[in-house]
Amino acid sequence: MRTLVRISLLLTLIFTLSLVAVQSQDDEPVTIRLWAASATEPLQNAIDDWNENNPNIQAELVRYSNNNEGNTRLDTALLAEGEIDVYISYGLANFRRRVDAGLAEPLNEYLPDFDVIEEFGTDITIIGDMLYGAPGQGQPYFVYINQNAVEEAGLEVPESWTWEEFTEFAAALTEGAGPFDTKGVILPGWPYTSDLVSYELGADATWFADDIGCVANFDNPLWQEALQTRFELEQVDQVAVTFSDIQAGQLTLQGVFFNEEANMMIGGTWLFASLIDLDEYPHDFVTTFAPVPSFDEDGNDFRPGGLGDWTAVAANSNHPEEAAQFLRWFVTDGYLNLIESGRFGAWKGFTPEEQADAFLSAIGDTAELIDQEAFARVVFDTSKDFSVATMSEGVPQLSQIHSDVAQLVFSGELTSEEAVERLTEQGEAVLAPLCE
Amino acid sequence: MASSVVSPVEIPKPQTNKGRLRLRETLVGYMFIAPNMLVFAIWVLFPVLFTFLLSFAEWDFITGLDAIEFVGLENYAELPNDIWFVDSVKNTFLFTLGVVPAQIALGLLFALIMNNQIYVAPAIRAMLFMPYITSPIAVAAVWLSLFNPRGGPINQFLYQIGIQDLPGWLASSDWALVALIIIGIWSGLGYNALIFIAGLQSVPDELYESAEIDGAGLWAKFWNVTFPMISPTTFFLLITGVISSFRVFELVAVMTQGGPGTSTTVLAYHVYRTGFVFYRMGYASTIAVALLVIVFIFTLIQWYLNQRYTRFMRPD
Repeated sequence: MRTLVRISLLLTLIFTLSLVAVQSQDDEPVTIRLWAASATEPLQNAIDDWNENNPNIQAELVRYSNNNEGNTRLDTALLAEGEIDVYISYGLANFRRRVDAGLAEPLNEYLPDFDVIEEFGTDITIIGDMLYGAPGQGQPYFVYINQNAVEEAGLEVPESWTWEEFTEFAAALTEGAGPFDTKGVILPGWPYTSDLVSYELGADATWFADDIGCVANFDNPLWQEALQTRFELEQVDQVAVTFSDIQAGQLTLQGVFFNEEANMMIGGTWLFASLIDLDEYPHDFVTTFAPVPSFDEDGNDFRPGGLGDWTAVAANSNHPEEAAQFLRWFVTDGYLNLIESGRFGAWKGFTPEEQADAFLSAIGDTAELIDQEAFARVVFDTSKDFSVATMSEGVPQLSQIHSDVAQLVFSGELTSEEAVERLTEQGEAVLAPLCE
Repeated sequence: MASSVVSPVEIPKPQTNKGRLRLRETLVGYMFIAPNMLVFAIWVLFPVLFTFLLSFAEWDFITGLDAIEFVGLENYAELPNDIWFVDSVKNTFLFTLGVVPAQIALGLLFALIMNNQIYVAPAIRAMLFMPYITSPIAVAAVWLSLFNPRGGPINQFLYQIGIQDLPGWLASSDWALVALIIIGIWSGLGYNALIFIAGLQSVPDELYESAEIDGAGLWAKFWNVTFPMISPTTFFLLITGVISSFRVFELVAVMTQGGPGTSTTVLAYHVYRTGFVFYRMGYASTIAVALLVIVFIFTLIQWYLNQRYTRFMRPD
């Protein structure tokens, strides 16, 4: 009996080993997996596009959700061997975090001639002389304007403006001060003042007055000006939907703007997805565009908005060479496939006309609801570059105290001077434990 | 089985295999409780111990275990200087103070009413208990629209009865915590009422009869018979109520995210934010340990009061 057991075990072992041996001699095309979290259809189009032209490197899409759980799922999968080949991180912080944790493969040996500085305008993905990835998306922010309302008010949209001029314009587009009257503008549902400051100072100088990230920069006069501006828009001139209304009613930019409860909104290109979705957001007015207002006459020093879709090769990928090839294609030509969902590429190899045309033709009839001249001029204005944050430690805390204080300013509980004082004080307190 | 373990009367013990049998029986016993113990050890005991350990370290948990950096008592020294910690202790205390007494008082009131003959008692009991078993997210979503300062039913009602200066509820740093307290009371009411009903039913009728004979009215009966007799129940609800109020998290996370300002930042939410948003797992563990200490002290105080007060009142 025992002999029988032993023999059958031995046979099973031999059988299994031979299976393995057969497997490893297989000649299948290499399959690489892309993990991404944006709209599935355009991503799948990109994948299909690549697969057609690259029969020996077949790509596969794995979708994850860009929330806490989804990111944890991605982090866990990155630790496993061969599970992921190329992945997209949303938010520079996530990208940095994964690089620091050793989950991104350096690309220098696979893509020696890939000059990200020239092709994307930033060296943020080069850490310690090693290239770890590239930004796929360039998401500019600008003002969306209801063209019909503008014409009814007998106005003309300027090509650039200061916040004072903007306030006057918004006042002409505001029906009244009551809670149910149409307002001139709706601003983003987060304080947004830090973004406004960053358009002038750049992402790092917005938060830090020094190079090592130990002194907060809240006493820069721009902070007080930005807080005061939003406060006045909401409470003094009453041309903007108030922050507390947005919070209490869980209002969204697109929900309010396309419902004509506000005649302007300030946001990024993600809002195009709502503009073309006429089932969810039916509207028949034409949307025109203008740049984000600036604090002084010469306009913002940086292009409002930022880079996104930080694409990298997984350190535990089994096919880093092929993954690198795919990555390079994806963040350059390949990214054009995503344009139909309102994701515009960051690659400088695209001309503004190319992207504008690709988008307008991809959306078909809804292109009539867009003022095409303003669209090409404002949305694709590449005269300035996005600012990119290089310092990240301590920023979430500073951002949180800023958010806490800003809410009190907008509701009128604090003046902007008191707010800046409190921010400076608290800024010191939160940075102290990180800098000792 | 037991005869081999305890034998005050001298039963002559058989000689064979006693040691091994006892060992085997002990092993069998352990095997039965092993699954439960294992789950407990892995998912409860280990994380708690690990948290204690982490409270003495700095750790950005994404970068892997080797990034743990021990810093001794530095984290604890940081607590009094942490603006959010101080505020969250204050807010947590206020929340508990607002919720627990009201929950107990109203729960008792409902229980007293429910204890008598009323129409459709089972249906009302179900309605009373419904908030406790409803998903916190659903609760939050509905209350969010009720508390809408512009068009919500609550403010509309207040306006109808003549109040001009309407509270801003979740959008106002004065009223946000009040709104959460109201929701907290509403959620826990049914549970308290149910436990009280059980407690009330255990009060012997003879006591009421003898009180009536002595000429006691409704209030006298309550104060001299009912209240003392249910004091164990009251203390139980007080202790568990305080412990769970100190741990409030979902309401804050879903409805206000700690805002406006820091008016609804509570300890559990601050722990979450410090660990998962600021990536300071070590310091977050320190705050969690501080929360544990606070709750522990409160429980000890209540336990002491319980021993002193209830024992005196227990019928012998």
